[in-house]
Amino acid sequence: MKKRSLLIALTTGMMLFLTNGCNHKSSQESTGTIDQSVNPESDTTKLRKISFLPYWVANAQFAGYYVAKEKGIYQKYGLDVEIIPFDPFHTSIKLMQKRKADFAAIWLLNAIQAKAEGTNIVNIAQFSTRSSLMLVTKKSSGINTLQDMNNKRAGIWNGYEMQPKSLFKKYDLNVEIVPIGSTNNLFLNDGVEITNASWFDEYHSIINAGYDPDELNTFFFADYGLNFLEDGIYCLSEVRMKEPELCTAFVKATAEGWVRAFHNPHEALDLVIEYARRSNLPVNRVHQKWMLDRYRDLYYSEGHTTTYLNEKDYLFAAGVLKDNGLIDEIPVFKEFYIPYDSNISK
Amino acid sequence: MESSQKNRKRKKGLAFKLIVSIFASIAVVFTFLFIYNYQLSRRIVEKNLKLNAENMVKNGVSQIEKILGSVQKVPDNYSKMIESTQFSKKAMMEILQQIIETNPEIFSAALAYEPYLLDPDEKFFMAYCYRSDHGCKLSFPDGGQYDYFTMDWYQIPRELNRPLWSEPFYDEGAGNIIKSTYSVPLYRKLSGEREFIGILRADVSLAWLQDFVNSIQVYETGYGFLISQTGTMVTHPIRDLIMNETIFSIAEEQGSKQLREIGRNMVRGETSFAEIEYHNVKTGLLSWIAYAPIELNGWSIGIVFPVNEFMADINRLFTRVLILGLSGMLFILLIIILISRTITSPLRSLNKASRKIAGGNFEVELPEIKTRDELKDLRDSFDYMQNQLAEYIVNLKETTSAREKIESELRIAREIQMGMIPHIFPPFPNLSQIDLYAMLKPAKEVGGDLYDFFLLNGNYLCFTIGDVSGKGVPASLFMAVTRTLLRSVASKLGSPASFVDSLNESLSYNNESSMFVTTFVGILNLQTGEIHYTNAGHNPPVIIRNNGNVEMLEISGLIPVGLFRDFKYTESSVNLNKGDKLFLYTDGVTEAEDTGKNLFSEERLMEILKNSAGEDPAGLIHQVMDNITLHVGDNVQSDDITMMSIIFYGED
Repeated sequence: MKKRSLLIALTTGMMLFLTNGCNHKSSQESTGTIDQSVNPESDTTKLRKISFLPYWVANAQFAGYYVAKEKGIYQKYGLDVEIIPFDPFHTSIKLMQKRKADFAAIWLLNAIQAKAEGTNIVNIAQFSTRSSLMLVTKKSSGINTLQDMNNKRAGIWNGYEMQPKSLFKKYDLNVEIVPIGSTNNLFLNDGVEITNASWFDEYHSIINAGYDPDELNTFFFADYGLNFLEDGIYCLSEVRMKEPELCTAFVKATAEGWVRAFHNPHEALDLVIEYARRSNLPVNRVHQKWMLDRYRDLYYSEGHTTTYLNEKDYLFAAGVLKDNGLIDEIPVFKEFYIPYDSNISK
Repeated sequence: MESSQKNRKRKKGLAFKLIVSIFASIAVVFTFLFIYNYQLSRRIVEKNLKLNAENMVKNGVSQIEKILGSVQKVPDNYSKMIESTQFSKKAMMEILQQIIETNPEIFSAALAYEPYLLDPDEKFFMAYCYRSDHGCKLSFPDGGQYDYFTMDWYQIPRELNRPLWSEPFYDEGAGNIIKSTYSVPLYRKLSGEREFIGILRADVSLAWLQDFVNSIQVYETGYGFLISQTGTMVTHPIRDLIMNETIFSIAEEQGSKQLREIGRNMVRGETSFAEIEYHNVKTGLLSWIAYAPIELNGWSIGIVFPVNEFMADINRLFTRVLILGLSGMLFILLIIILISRTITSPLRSLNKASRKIAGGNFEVELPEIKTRDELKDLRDSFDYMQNQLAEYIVNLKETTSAREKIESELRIAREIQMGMIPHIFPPFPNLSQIDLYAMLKPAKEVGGDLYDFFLLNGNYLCFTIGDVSGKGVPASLFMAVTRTLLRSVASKLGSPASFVDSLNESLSYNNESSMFVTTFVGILNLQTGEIHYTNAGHNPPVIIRNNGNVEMLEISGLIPVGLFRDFKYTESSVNLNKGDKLFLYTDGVTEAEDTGKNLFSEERLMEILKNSAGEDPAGLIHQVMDNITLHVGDNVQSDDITMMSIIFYGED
């Protein structure tokens, strides 16, 4: 539905991190952990105004942010967060030049590319630990194993060919890649036998077009050794250095927002739908519920969300980017990933 | 009090049975008829509904296809034209303008070519012409850099090699109206090969389609809706659902597998007018959904029929029928109660009266019954029975008193009869030559047995035993006469034969009732033990010798006394030695019956006599009597039993 313009949005969007926010001193002086650094009773006039840029339109995939904002969690951490509505036509240089975003959610591959191209961003929290992307086939087409894909045609989002290509190469499969736009309609019309989908979004759209799960075969890239991580929270490294407590507050509040969203899906979905309506987006509660449920599967285990980026995962993703010629050098991990809760020696 | 409760119970029982059986039968019949009628009516309505649904859906499909078809024709025809000639870019743009200007239903049109096809330097070529307030506007989207190759409207017809209607989409620029695009792939022949060159597309507003489908109104809450090939709501009375939801997401929201199945059938292009239960999204009520595909674009139109509304009329009708029916049943119930009252109340009165009658009150007044039916007959029968009973009881009283009188007289007769027979034993205590014992055990009625003995001249013992034919008073009278006559003829010495002759002569005289008597008359010489005897048809007596031998006297062949006046009786003689016994009896002994009608029999008697040879006369007779009593058991004694035994001791 929407991944195609994602790349464009991200490659441009990641550069829009603004430093203007960073010039303001945090109202909080302490540098300890957020729980101590933030005074929950701080009144709104003293709240630190910051902005956050999602990489896509209002969807349950950002439910944690909406819940944190609307249910006073950011406020509790002393933040007044503006969630910038995603707009593919305006996430461009203009916005970037205005430098209006302090934090952004970005997929790992896009972030590595941006970093390699010289943008001074850092990952301060990695929420995604497993790729949500998959290939989907109809059982009726007779493709039940990866090997069955040989000499078949796959509809792959334009600009998102790296992961499937790596998969086909790894398993020595001759698959014709048909670049597709943001819909699965070519697949639904039997124009291709294979299509790519994210578990939390397009897969459910296919089900919502009348295919039952037992009529479909799914192939998660992660299950075939191509686990490209997705969402992480990024900011300019300058912000991370100068205002660590701000980063801590934002990450902690967001994590709390996610936990609350997973525990109160009804409330979270109401918020997501309200945001979507505000942006005049088509929205479908059942679909959003599916998305939130899948994010719970992807993000949440044993009562908490993880924010840790494994160096191995990083090197693997960066390595594939380098092998495909998309980056020249792999950015140094320690410069790429400075977790919000680490001490900064410098 | 207890009996009155019982009465009440019984009264209730009959009424209850009547009410339950009749009322329940009527209720069952009524219920059956009601249900049958209701279901039949429903079925008729449902059938009409299906027919109605089929017509509505088919009509909807044909209306939509008519319009889509007319839109399709334009790009179809132009595509032929474009394919057949080598047009310049400018000529192509003119074609686009022409399409818009001459076809008001087409909102915009575009021509897009494969990369570098028209110009080796240009990857993209897409000319776009749209209707505006100032006429036709021509443009090149994104300044000629619009990447359209992966757009559905371009890519899917290209891949599928056939014209295609796109999924519906919102055109925000044109005031948020829903549009669909009809794309026709273009080809050229290159060295015999058919080569894809681009797409000609026409965009149509679906406002007319929405208006049309929304105009489908079925009763109050029924409606039409349209879904695209992927199930997306294209039109629906709930605007929020349009483009936001698919029929499958609604099904998931409702948790309705049924609706999902309906959706799957719809997107597969299936048709159904049959009953499918589905909860109306608008009202939440159970509805039917009829659907059929629109072949031209693979969409499907569905019409929701509010079953409850269709059924409302029937339900109203049947509610009334039910109320009427229940009132009718109530009425029938009252009638049954009334009828059962008219039956049970006289029955109760009759019952009371009959109890009084049974208690002996024949004067009790029977209830008046005005109806002329079985009850009246029953009452008359009761009346008749009452009179008959009263009469019978009067007769019975009279008869009983008469019988009591006769019975008492008979008792006296009996006593007199028994008084005639000597019954003091031993009869001759001073006579050492003999001993004698006799017994007459009368049957219930007075009978005709007799025995007698007396001394003649002091040296002879005259003894007799007899049995008068028949029973009752005549027999007993005859017996009395016999005994008296015998005593009188035997008052002077003579032979037994002469005694019997005299007796016969007297008894035969004027014997109109032809009664007779068997008799044995013997005269024992007390000195010698010689017995002269005449046996007139009587059971032959038995001699029990002192050595234990028993012998029956010979049958004489003489006839009983009283039959023929001129008959001459003869006599025989037998000697008794010292210690010998003579045993005489009537047929009441040998013919005594047990409950199985078995006779005591002569053989049995002889055996007992033989076994009891040592007994004296009294012992012997009691022995025989005990055996008879044992034999008879519980059976009633039917005849007199008479026995006499004499033992001869002789002179010392």
